[in-house]
Amino acid sequence: MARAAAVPTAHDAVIAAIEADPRVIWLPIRHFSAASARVVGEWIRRERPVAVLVEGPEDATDLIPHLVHADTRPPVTVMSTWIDKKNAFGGSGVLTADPSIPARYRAWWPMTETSAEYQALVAGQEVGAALRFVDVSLKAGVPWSHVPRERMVASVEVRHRLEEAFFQRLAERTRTRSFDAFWRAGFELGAIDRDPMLWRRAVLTFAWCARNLGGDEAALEADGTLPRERHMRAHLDEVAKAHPEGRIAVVTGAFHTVALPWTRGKRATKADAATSTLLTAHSWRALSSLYDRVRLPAWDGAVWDAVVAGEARPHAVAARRMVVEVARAARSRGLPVSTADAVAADDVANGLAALRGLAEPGLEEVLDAVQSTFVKGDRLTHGGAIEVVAREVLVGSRVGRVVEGAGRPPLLASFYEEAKRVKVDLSGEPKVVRCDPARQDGHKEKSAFLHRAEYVGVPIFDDLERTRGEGRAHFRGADPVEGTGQELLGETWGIRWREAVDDRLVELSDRGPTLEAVAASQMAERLAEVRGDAAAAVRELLRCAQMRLGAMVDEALRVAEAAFAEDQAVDHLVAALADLVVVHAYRDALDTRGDTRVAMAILDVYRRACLRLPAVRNVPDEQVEGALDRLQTLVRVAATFDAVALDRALLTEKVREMVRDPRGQPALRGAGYGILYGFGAVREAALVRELEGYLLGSPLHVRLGAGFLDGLFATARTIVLGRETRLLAVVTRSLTRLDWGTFKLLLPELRRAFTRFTPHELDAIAARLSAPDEPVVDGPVPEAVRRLVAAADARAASGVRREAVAPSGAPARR
Amino acid sequence: MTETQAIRLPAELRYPGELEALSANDRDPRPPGWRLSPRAVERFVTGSGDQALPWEDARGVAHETVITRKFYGHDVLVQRAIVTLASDRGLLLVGEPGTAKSWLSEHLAAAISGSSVLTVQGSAGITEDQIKYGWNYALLLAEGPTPRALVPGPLYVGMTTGRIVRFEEITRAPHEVQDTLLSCLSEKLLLVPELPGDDGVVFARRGFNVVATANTRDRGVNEMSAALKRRFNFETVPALDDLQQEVAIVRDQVTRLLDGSGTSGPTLGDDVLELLVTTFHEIRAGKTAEGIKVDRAQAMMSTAEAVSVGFHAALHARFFGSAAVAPEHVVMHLSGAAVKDRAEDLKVLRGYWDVAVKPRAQREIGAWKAYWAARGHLA
Repeated sequence: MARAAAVPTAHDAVIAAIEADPRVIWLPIRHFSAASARVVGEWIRRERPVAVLVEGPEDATDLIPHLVHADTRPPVTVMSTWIDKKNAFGGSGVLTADPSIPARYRAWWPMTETSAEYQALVAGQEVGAALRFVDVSLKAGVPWSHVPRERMVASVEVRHRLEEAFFQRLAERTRTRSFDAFWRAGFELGAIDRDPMLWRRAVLTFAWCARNLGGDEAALEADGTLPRERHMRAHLDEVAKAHPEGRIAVVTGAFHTVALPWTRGKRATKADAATSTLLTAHSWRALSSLYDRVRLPAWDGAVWDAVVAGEARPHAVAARRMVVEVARAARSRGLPVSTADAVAADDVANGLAALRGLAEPGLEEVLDAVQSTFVKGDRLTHGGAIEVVAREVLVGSRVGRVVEGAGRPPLLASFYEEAKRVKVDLSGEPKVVRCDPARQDGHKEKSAFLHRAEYVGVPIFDDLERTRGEGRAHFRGADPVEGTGQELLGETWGIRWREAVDDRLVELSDRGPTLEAVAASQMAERLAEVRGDAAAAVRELLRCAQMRLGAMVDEALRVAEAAFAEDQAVDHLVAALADLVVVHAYRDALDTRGDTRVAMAILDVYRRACLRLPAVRNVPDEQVEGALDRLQTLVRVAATFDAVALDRALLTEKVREMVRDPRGQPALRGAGYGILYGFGAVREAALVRELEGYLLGSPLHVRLGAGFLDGLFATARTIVLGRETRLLAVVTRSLTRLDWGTFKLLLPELRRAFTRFTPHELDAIAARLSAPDEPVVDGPVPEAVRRLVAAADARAASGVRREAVAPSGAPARR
Repeated sequence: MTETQAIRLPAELRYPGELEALSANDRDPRPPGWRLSPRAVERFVTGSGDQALPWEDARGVAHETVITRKFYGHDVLVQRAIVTLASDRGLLLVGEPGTAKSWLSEHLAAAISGSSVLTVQGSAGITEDQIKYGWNYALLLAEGPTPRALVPGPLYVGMTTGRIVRFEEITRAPHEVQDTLLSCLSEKLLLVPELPGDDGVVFARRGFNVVATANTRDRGVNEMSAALKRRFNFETVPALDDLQQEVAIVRDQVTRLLDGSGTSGPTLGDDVLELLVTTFHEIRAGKTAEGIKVDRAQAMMSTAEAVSVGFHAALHARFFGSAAVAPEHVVMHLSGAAVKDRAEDLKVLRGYWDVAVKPRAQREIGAWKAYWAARGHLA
């Protein structure tokens, strides 16, 4: 094909050349533009080109027959995935958690009714043209489209800034509030009455300006614009050769159209076997959350419906429909919006359009009218509910459909098959699903399905009506991972299908053909992230067991075992130990129950936790409570786990080492002494001596003594609840020797220590204090406690009185 | 009354040239009863930028007039307000005190009807006859209820002449008085049952509408009847979030007030003006330009209050013979504006001086040093 040597420098020359091209019908578009879609469709039907080439990934050309099939209904999307197995672009370990996990890249080319690409292909099929996508594949585009910001070439950033400034200036000059509003005002509203030739000329002028903003030409090379254009041009040359007669329609973004006629063709890299390109259904809701240009797709849909219906003012018709729908939706939510308000809104929308010099009201006018007429009061306090409703209506709920035979991502098919098999109703009605995997083998698969879906974020869940306590609103039951609901048998799930389910499945479909494979893939990445963290690794192991991901259990166990060797943090090791015990012995009969490898891991991590135990003796005050918990956990496991013999002598030795340092945290020392006492490794006399060392010391030491008691009560409650009362006698004797000021300082910590006991136990302690030889009996408040309380009251009252009469600045002393 | 005698002239008398220029250049369709087209009304409020509009006066003298911007804020809000007034619904401007709701309503009425003086001031003591009509009791006794004895109120005049009626602080008026508007806004008619025959029914002429204001600090719009709410479109006028725009407004307004005060002397310089507006802006926003959080005052730190402080500071400088308006003059009058109901507000101001003014004074930024030195006047 004949090509000019260089792009003409004047925009009118560019336009003249494009218009005069005898072989190519250059059709510049804006993506998601109803006017573009209509003009392109009409042009192709009128000119009947022999081929229609459309901007889109070339490897999706095979999908075009499915895309344009009468049974396919937008929104749909071409979705491409490429896994860089050879790490050609260095993303492994950078974009993924671990160098062993290859980077995966994904891209979507969504199509709605207002996509000019879609309408061009539909029209092309009608006129019998050869149809082809001509843009580069995802793989070829990776070097340009997935460049991290820090590696972006400076000239590209300059170019982006120039474009932003240009678009902003356009909006300012035309007194529109954004570039999108500018586009709508200039190219969409009233476009139906414009000569398509003039419309194209205006679009080309705009594109030529955007292309010639200045900046370095290298930016267009670096951001992939020029390589893509060379690739598209190569396709065009090839098609032109194959069709020596007839005209060829080329439908691309207008920015490319003003350069393509003068571009020399050169192919980019082709897609390889690691690329998967599919056509799948999409939804307006997903479109709205993914693409800036279609934030409110129901608006575009309403405009297109009006275009198809042959309306002379499609935007005005759409505006009326939208304000009525917003009014109806608002009323259904109990908001006071009447039909009269809808009439007024339509009136305001049209009035605003006239004031702004627009041929018909557009999206901005609808939004303004809704705000002006439906919000009855201060916008900040009264406008929120209407804004939410308006947004929901303008986003819409349409879900696309792809013709049978186009093939769905295998994940979609397998997901619904599996849901059917395990009897999870995904009809869209709210359902409550119950399963009891511990007692019914048949429910294990259902439980695993639901846990997997939850893990990978498939939104099939719905809030249960009565969800007690904290945690997930859609789930009630025992959860070994979170350690919640242990008192409950079985699982109860709230289920409700919604259109976002398919969107999410499409997103996940490059991770595997089944939910199990997707969960395993996500888990593999998670395991790479938690390497070196014993607690997190075992937590994931537990999750694998809960989801019944057999292969991943092995992998998680391997990661956990490696982490035990690396992780020096006692809290991690003890948490890992506790979770491993759950993995090994959980009542709900996880598949890992009784697993020998898990038992061996318990042995290993227990030993390592014991060895690291002395390190906790000097934890800061705010971590004492956590350290006490871990110590208790360690002791509990040592005392109760019997699948393998845990070395209690080692624990005793390390606890002894921990308490040996008199400067260590008193609470931990107390707890340590309690453990040793419980193991019979220390006598009460030694323990009492240690306590006296605190309580008979300086006021500071007395306070530390309260901490010691607190720790002691945490691990050896029986020492005061049993027959022995010597320790309590020491406490009582020590306290009575304290002066009032010191006692006051000590009181809060002392009270905290005694909160380790139940009220009933406190009664027993009080009784024993007052009458050591009397048996403890249940009943009303014992006289001994009354006496103790009365004495404490009198003491406190006397202290308060003294303090009240003490001269200012001179603390009262006993 | 001449311009020099009036303390403050209504918008149509302040900008007669601009209104003439807009009318002469107005090619767009005008709603029935309107003096200008909606686009020209918008231009009157938001200005023509640098563009001067050519026109000739009645004597054939040629003029070129630039339309000044009178309302700083969201132009989209102005457009919606104009379109509402062209529809069959009233316009209710709501917002914090001092956000230029009345200012906007005045200029809209001046541009649409050529008159902004058909105004009702809502208050607890207002009665129906102050809005609709009353009677000349001498004539009433002499002639009985006749059109001659009727004393028309702003609503009656607005309806019979097809003009915009302004209802300020509508939510402060008793409910029964508010509801007087119901039939006027929906049926566009006013009944005068005392008058017999056709005189007893007043039909609104085209061009009539009501623009009301309500502030969100007093009785909010929640207490308005649902029936009346339905007859209004609501527009929320927010406080300005652009410091430079606020500086421009305060400069413009203070200059206007000083010009009208009939005295001469120093005016507010840009450096002092910026101190003043920055203080209001930052206390209102709850943080300084540097991102440091400051307490918000209970009193409304509105642009109108900033204008008041600026005006008083300038008068102070004039009457007490200062060569220029200094930061200390602003400080002297600031506590009067910022401390309305609670002594805590004074703490807010002092806190602002500590966390915002002091560091800037230490960095010797502009007039901030003198501003800091004048903190003793915060009492």
